[in-house]
Amino acid sequence: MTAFLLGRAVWSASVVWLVATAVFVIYFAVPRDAARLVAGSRASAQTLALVRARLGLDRPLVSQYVAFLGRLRRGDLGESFLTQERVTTIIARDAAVSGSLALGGVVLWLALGIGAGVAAARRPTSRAARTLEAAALACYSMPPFLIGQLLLFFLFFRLSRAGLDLFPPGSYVAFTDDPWRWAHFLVLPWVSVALVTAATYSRLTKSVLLETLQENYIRAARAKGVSESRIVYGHALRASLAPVMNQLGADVGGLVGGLVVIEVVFGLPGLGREAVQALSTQDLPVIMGIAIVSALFVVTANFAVDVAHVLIDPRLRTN
Amino acid sequence: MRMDRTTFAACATIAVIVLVAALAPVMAAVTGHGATQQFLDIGLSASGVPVPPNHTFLFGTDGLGRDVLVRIAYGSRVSVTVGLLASALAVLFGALVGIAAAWAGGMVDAVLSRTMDAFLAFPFIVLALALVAVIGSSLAVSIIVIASFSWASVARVVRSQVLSIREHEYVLAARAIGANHVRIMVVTILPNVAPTLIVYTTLLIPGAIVTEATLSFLGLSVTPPAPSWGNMLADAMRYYRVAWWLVLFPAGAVVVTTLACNVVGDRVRDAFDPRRGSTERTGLRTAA
Amino acid sequence: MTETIRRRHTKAAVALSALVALSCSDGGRQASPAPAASPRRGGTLEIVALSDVDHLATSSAYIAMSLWLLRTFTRQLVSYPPVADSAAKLLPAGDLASEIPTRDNGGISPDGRVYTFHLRAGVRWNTEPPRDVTAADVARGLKMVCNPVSPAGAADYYTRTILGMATYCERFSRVPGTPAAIEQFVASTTIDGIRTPDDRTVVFTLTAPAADFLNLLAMPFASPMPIEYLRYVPDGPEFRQRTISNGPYQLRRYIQNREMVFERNPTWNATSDPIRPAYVDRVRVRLGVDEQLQQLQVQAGTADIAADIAPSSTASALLESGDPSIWLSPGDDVYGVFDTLLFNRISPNSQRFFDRKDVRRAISMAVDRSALAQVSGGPRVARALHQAVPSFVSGFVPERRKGTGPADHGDPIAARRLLEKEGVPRGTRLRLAYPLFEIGSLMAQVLQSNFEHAGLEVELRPLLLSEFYGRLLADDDNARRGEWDLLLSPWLSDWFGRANGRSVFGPMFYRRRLNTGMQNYGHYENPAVDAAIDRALLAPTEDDAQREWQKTAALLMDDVAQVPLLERKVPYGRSRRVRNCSWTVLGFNCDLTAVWLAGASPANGS
Repeated sequence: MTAFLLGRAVWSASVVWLVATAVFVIYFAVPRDAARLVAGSRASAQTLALVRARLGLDRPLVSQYVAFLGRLRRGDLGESFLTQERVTTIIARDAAVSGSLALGGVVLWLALGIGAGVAAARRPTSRAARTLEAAALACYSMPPFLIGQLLLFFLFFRLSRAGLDLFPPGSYVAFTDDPWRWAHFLVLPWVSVALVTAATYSRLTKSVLLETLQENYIRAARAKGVSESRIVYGHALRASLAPVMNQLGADVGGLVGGLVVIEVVFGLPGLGREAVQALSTQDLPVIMGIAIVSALFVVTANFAVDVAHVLIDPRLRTN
Repeated sequence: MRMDRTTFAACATIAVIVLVAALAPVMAAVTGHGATQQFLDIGLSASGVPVPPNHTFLFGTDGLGRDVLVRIAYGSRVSVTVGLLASALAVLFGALVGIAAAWAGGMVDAVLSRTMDAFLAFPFIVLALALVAVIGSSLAVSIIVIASFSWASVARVVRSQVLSIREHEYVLAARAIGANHVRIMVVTILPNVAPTLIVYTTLLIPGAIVTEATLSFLGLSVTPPAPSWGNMLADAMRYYRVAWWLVLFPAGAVVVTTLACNVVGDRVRDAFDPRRGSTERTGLRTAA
Repeated sequence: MTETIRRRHTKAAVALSALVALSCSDGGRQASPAPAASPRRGGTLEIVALSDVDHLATSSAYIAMSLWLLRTFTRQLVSYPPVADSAAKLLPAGDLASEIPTRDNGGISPDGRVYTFHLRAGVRWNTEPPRDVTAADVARGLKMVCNPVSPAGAADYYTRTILGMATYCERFSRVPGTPAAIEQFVASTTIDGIRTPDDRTVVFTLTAPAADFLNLLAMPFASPMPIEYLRYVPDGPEFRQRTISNGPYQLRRYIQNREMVFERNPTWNATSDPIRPAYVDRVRVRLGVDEQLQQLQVQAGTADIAADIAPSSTASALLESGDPSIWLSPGDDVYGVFDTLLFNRISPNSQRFFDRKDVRRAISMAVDRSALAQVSGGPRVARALHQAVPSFVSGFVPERRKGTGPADHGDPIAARRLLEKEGVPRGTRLRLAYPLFEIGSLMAQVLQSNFEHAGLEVELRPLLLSEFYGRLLADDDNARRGEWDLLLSPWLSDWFGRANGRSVFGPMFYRRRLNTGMQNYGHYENPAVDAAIDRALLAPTEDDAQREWQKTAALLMDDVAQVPLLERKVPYGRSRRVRNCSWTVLGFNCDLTAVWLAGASPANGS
């Protein structure tokens, strides 16, 4: 088991390295002039040369890559081209926001998804279940930015005009400063994140439950007189844990991308929005830093899911 | 296979969409409005505000006075193409890699699996923007970008499926008698993996369409003036407060297509193996 | 000069010549409400913005938003007063200087080459303890324009006017970029053309008379700099956390890409500042909010001022319905931005077509400017442009038209005929590149349709801003390879007035040399135009400058150097409680030091 986990750890590290190299290649191997953006389009050739030297862009590609890897190993992600602030500082600041958004979003979509799935499984043909399923699918088929904008328009703007300032966007208050306001500003974004993904979980839960509820041991339990709720919530739900976690592992990868859109729409100062702004100014160290950190995040999350799997399902331990 | 009403409706919807895509020029001819034709006199106010649905423009106009109905029809071509090609590419490539990894095992498997994980961990946005920056935005780039970030999950699933099939008695037996590897793969693996692939294709299509919309939202996809549901929706985000029809119709098209594809996908999966159901996707249940 | 709205919102105040103001009677109604009530002090002004400032140091800050915010805590020798009348607004008034130097009061020498400024009393830096702003601070500020770490993008404004500045900057650029080396260099060297005979007098000597010198000094580049700044890397993170103010506000908190908070500066006193009334107590800027959300917030009341241009789609509808939350800048009959098409004169296609004047003329004829104006927001917002420069740049010949005329619709059929006569086959493909901005996308598609009617097939190449400037235009080889044939771009002027040709003509049309500071991306070359520009730059008075620039403009139009399209106002959003929102010359948006909030009470924060 330790060997397995160690192996996975090494694996994860190499994945992050692959990602880092890929991003480097994409951004540095293409002839572009980041210096020009930093110096401004009116800058003279002299100024450009100065800026280029200061940013280290005039060195050969390979030496830049080597320097980049060296810094990476030390945990140094470099400095922003535009503000010279350390990239690690920027990321640490933004990670709290993205993390809050992700956490709340995941919790909410699990709650919504599993709840809806259970309801649908218990009464699959009821009108309520059908409508819920259709609504979930509709949300799933809408692009995230659309859901976000609609929520913003109806629940923030319209209500504000009517005098109810319920869901103000565009701010972030740290949890440590004021938990209520932290949640207040995040409610709409959480709902957006959740609505987009909940459908997958409701369908997954529903189908697994439906299947499990047919199993022999469930029938036996029913015959023994165990209450329906206990059957569903106690036994059957446990069976759906594995596929749900697997799906979660897969979704975590997509989460990083999905958060970008929500952060942009709601003006939340997280990693996704930082990345978009860095891309629009070609602030390469920030782009690279965020790409590496998000890869790290995905890989760690997958690792955690793997560990959880092994802990939950003893059958896998001998693998 | 008995078809219930929902499935029938879903198939009919898909048929209609394909028909609309095929007959887009006919719609343009009938209405007399081209997809990129700008009607600045009757389709736009003096300050550039679009016109709501009326007799001349059944679905209203957009920010350049173009007929939304005709653009939705032409947009279906792009969306259908992107959906089909991107998911087909992803599934094909994913299947190949998954099968190769599982069958070859050892070092090959390790390397391929690592590549899969790298692709899954890669921040999609960065890749998309970088590619577009280098190649320029176009339909082809969108397809490549979408395919490149979907193939890995297909590969993962196929790999785990093949891994379990590989241990089945009949496969072991076939290998024992020294049957040709390729023959074994074709005869035993493909039929088992095919349902998964088909299901994945139908499920990836709507995902591809929605992703294309997100790419358009960030400014990277089909170059204007060509319409796609995605870029119509992205543009609509600027107008939604003054022109609800610009949101309703493309969003409706996307939602309807997605729903239909999902329903059909579900039915196909059920048809192939009503018992195993969703565990196909996890691939984690060992053949017990 | 050129830059997209997003990057470089013009800060320059454009003084529309009085003549134009009089002749153009279709005065756009300025939605700024005439304050019936008297200003109230107090309150917190909430601003929402998309991007952070490009630079916080005055030596290098160049985009509109940066200059707009800098007005709260930096002062210059001369600045633009917060008056409502556009003509008066554009005339620099004494800020740190006790009065504007003129030939009459002896502040300007008879030959127009020496400017003497006397600093006002009572202006202090908010250091511990506070101390006076001195002439040495002014000199230091100008020296730092060429610092090797974060130099001014438009240093040429000063290197070409102030005596000895060019050599100074050349030497400075070779100094290592460490604070110690910079401090040493600045302390031990002087610029010949800047003398400080005593603590309160600054004397400038110019290489030649310059009609726009006061405007150049009104730009934040020329702000004085306290000696403490030399301890830090210019515009570095340390500096940004330790800014020193001589204005009504000071920067209390700055989290990059997230937030800026300005609070009252206790060492500032209103009697020494005739330019900034400063009513609000606090200004809070939230960064990273996109334009759509900015507009929603401003209308819902959770923010007061939107820093970025309002999305034109929403703006048009709101303007049509007369909603007070949208207002157009600049006011009166002043326009702030103009759009043109540049020809690529060094590509393969150029030898085939663009080198011939009639082909260029045909392309210009095919454009439907009234359609362009319509999709940009209509007559309230945009106006067709038929001259080399827009109405707010010197060299514009006042027109007597009202509304749209037949010339505005273009004539694609005549264009087609002319093209055929010139041997340009039907279906010739041209590439039109443009940076992604909302109106740009709409305009590009209209142009595509126009050219289609004239028998030309246009391929659109939209690019992200960073790609547009950072890649496509950064390398001349791209132009040589023909990666673009036509370039659609919005342009601005760094200041307004009757002598602002320097800011536009030179950058756009002067022949490109090794100096990449030119924005003549298409490599237009015309020795006659170069000579005309040289002459105009040496014009001693505003009237002379105006005449020379007009001659230059005529040459450009005659040669069809580019295709002028539109001049535009830009819409901004503001909330119901904002009063006295007067457009600033630097930054276009409401003057932060002149707004007040209805219902505010002093010293309560809120």
